Amino acid sequence: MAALNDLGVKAPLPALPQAEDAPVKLQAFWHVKEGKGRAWLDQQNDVTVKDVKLAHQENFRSVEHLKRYTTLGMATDQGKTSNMGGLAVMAELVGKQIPEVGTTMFRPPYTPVAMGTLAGRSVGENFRPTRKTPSHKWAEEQGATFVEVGMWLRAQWFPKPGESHWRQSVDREVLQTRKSVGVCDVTTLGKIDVQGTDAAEFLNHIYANAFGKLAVGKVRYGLMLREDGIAYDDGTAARLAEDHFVVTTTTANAVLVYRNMEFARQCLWPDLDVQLISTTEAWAQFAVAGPNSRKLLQKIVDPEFDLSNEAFPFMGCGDVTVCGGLRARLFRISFSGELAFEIAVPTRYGDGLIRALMQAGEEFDVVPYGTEALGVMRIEKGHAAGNELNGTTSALNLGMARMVSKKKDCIGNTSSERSGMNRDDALVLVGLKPVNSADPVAAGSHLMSATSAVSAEADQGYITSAAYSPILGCSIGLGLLKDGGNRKGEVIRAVNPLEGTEIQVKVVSAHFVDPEGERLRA
Amino acid sequence: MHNLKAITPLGGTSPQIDRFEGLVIREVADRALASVAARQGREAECCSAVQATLGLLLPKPAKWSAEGAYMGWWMGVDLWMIDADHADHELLAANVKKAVGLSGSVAEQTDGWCRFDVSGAQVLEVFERLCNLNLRAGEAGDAHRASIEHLGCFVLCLEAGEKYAVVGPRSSAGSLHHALVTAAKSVI
Repeated sequence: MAALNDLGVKAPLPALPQAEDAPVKLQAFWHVKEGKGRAWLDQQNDVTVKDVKLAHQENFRSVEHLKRYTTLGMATDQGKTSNMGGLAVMAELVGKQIPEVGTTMFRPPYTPVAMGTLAGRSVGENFRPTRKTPSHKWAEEQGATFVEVGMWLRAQWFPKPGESHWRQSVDREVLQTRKSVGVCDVTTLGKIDVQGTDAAEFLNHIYANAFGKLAVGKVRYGLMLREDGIAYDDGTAARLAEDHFVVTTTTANAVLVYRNMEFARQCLWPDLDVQLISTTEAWAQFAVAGPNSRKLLQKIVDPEFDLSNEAFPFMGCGDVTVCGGLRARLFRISFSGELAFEIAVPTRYGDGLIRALMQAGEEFDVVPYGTEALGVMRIEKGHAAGNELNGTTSALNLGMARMVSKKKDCIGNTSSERSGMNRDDALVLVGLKPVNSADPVAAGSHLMSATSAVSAEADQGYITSAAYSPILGCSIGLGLLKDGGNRKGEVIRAVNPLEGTEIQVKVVSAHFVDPEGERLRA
Repeated sequence: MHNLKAITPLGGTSPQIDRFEGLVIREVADRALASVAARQGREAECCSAVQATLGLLLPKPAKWSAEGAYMGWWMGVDLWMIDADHADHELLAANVKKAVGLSGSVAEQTDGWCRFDVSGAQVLEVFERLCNLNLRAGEAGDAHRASIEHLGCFVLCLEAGEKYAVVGPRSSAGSLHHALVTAAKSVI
């Protein structure tokens, strides 16, 4: 009134209500009991008082059951608007106090937070982790082109100045490796350290072929089957000691194989004394391949180690030292089909080792090679890889039927004997060479006989891998062909209905280069 | 003495250090690591052998312990990682194997891992962005597994609320480092 007076505004004093002095008794009012309309509790998940009553009727009376039976409190507000009401109704029904009914767990965050606190930092290149090889920095300096292999970045080829097309680089890397010597970073292949009194017996259960009698200092190729008898990974196992193996896997399956082996260790054969741990990252590993690979390695491996063919034959392995005493492991294995070794040092020295190999290899015109040249050479040699171990192929299909030992049990061997997987006309791995040497072989092409109609019914198989072979001067392929083992020399067709092309190919041995393995055993 | 030069997991000739207001992220590249898994039926013997020769009592689940030159943390059932200074103990794995003999399986793990020590007043806020570990409720001596930016890591509490070691896969050092630095920038 005084303020209005100051403003010169006249106003009558209204009748002001008088407060009673009666005692106040506040009571909770949780829901309207009268009427037929829905009494909403959770407006996000549309839960009503009636739903809570139904939960109670159905005996879902504990707060956890109430929540899940009705979905009360399960939406984005995690019950902030609905829990109290819901608990109050249930408390009334069960005749308890609200706190006795209990509360459930809230999904965090309890207090709203900005989205940027939780996410949005892994963008672009950082969307998922990148794995880099020990020679990555060196390869970048060489101007390598990289390819993603899972999370890994691997050098795909190393272009030289003047090369404008990848085929120039890859062809050169293949030719030079087979002529003299090439080096490739193969660190990415899984390495699993297997130790224990029962290590060999464990490997006998994991691999289709036998490892029990593998001598110390020897490496053996191994094939792993799934429980249904289909091949799922291949690699090598090197016996460093009676109770110590190093198992290698493909790059893509390293984690899967380790997981499966650990499952087998813990759950399938828990009574075997065997321990596993991954060492993929711990060792930098390089393939050194070609007729001069031994000579190059003799400049790196310390002189007290004899790398001659007699002292270190094909498929041998052992601990050595390099560059004046650094511990290393040497494996005489070959993916390229050339005289080849793989040398491993602790990863921190991998960068130093590639530089030392390149410098020592200058007199041999050493060439670094990437995954493309690696791929061309293994196709030339006829080695199965991921394209052939494609989840549908058995040991028989891969031409490795005899590798599944009948003398011991392993994962998948019983299933692999099912009649459907052993038909006379089963697909078998073969080599395919174009009749017209200028024709390109396309992976994915389907194989038809020389004269049949092109149809699914007439399908004879398909091409799994193809590459231009600079050694042979033409495209070549590996493929799965019905009864392929008995069809060498036959001329068939590789058809590509998608692009409307077809070429004539001759069925040949999958081992295009050095089929007798003379280079391997040099 | 061999003539090969080592590089750090981040690819440098010396460890990387990133400094922020209230936080330091330090690449640790001078530790030797060896895993030891007790063989069946010889678990007690394996632990005794380690204690007798290295002085180290192998810790219980989710803990690390240290004695003299050696530290060890629990990695799984009957499985531990042993850590020591790289310059003085480069052949740690061979020495641990000599100590346990046939009672344990030992593997060199030194270069399978990268390590970043994260310390400072803001450290807990930064880890809240990185992983779901309840570090506020933890204490020095804790050793947990955690997923940090899709990488399986160990997080060791060196000083509660103040200093933590993150041990992750070496080949992804760049990605892990990026995650730590980005989380730091998000907080600070």
